[in-house]
Amino acid sequence: MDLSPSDFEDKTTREVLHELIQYVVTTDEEMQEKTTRSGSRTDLNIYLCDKQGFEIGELDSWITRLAEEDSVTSYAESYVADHTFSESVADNDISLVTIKTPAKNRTDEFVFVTNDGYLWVLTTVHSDWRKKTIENLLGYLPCVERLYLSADNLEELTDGIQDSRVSGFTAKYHAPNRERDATLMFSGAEEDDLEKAEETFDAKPTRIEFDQTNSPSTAIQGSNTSKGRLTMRSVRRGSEAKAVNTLLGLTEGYQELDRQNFEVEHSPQRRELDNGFTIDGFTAVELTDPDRSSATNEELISDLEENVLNGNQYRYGIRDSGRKIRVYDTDHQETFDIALEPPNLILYARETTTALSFRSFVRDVYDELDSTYSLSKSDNPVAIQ
Amino acid sequence: MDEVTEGIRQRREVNAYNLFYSAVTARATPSLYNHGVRIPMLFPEIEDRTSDITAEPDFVLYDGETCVLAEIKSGHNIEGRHIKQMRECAGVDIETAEAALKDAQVQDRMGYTGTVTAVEPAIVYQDLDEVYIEEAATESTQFRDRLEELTSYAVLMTQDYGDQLRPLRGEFNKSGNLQSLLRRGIQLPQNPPDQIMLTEGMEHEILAIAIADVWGEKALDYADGLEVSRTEVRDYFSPQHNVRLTDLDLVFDFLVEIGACEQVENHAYRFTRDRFDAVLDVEPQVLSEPVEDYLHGTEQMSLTDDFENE
Repeated sequence: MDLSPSDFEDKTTREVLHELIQYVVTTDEEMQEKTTRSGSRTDLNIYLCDKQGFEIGELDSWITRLAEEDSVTSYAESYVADHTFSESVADNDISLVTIKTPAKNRTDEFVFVTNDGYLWVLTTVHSDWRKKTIENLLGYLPCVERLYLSADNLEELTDGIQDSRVSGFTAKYHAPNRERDATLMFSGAEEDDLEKAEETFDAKPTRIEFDQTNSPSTAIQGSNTSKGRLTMRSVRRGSEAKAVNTLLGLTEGYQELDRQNFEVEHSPQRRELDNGFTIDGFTAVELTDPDRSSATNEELISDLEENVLNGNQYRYGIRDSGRKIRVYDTDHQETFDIALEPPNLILYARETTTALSFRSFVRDVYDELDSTYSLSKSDNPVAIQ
Repeated sequence: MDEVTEGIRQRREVNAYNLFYSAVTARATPSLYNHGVRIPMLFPEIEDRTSDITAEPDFVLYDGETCVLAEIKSGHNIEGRHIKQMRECAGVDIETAEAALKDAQVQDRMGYTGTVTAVEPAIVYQDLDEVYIEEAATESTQFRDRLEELTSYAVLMTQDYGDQLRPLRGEFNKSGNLQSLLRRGIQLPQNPPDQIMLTEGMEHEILAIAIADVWGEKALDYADGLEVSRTEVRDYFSPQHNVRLTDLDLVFDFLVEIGACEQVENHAYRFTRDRFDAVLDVEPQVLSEPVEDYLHGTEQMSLTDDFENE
């Protein structure tokens, strides 16, 4: 990208997207070639993040915190040491961020946009360098967490794109007590191929590619992933407006589904009364109905210990004689409880729990323990209306 | 580990409260919440202004019409004490219930007018069923008499994990929305959340867990840790639970000993993030062994020990 902050001054989100989509606009002929989806080329990627406290113009102070705070891991420390960061503010809610990697003589550019509690990071940087630069940064910033969708939600959202069909996908199967982990990567998919993958291999999609027509032929190619990243691969000249609408619809839908699954609106709060007290608020995120039909409390605990709770992020204690685990997420400074209802896992919010720690834990369970759980949330006030 | 320690017994008591609480959460089927039922008060003291009887139910349920005063038991033995408790609840008339709900600010908080059409005392045991009641009533006159007296004051109900909350004996005073919901039964979750960490007696073990849960976790929000005094802790639990200062001293001795907090001055303690691993160890420790035994050992527990520690 070759951008300057003035390109984005006083621009709406729609206008910003329109501007950046130019990087993937193609002619009819190129569109034909691109349907093969090979080779290294430019895509527009959008990372969707929950931001709790992060604001445009504050990147520098967060980087300083990462460099100075004792609790930060050595990975974060060396990451901050290996790169330099600068943020040029274009507007209250838009900035241009560059991450330099002096050792490789690289400069990579990203557009940060905040809106409505969310941070979007847009970039055309290729995947290897995205991982080394922005994905690490988003991972280390404690106030920012990439959104996450379960496989069911990912399918639901992608299915909802008008005039579109699934043209490829990545689906994964991963479960305890299995000999193998499977990853299916399917390009040139036909209708029902995704269903077949699920039926045959119990594989759940983590990325879905779609082709969208703008009558009569394919005009937009993109993909959607479970880990808060949308991609526009190509947009046929003349279909830019439709592509922007697609992106806006996807981001809106993505945020809504993420909110439904992880947002803690009713955390338990104690309140004193003249004659007694109340505890109001209840939120449970439920991981249910996995591939395996049974497990004991002990098995679930040791599976979680070996695959999810190990590592630096979590500290935990066993409660209720092995029926619950109290978890302290040190990345987000929050606690929550895991109640075991084998083979299901029920996450209960504590007073301080937010979407940050729920989302992060659920993602780890899907990635590291069992990809076959279904996800839902139940919550309500208890003492008040 | 099969031995039921004092800590495990207290845990069961706590769990029974939390199981009942879960009937008003979205994990119950049907959820009482979806039918307008709320829990406006926990562990209230409901005083009758005309007599000097005070009812102290564990839970109050209210749906804008009916006020259920519920006493929760973690076992299934009907004790004489339970009859007294339910007699007191049965003594709460409509005006008294309305006054208590008014004190609990139900109008502001729930948008309910606060009028009560019926007060329904209920006592909820765990894992009790018709067959047991039938058999026990046949075998024991005392059981039969107690059952009869108890159900003259309250509806006798049962609840269990992953099973139903439902009435077994006795009739509700009126037939309203809440009564018919309870009559039909509520399917409860297998593993409800730890919303309440209190027992009737607030013994050392549950007190240690409750202090670790409240202040140990609150301290995570402060880089320099959080200080709390003995009296602040006492005030937090009062007046529903009158925790003795000597009990608090003993429990804080324990918490300091296992490293969950440090003593900063007389009767003041500091919880910090770096002690959180020890905070997490509090529950498994007190469930495996009484607090006193941990501090003084099981063997040399004697009167002299107690004197020395006064």
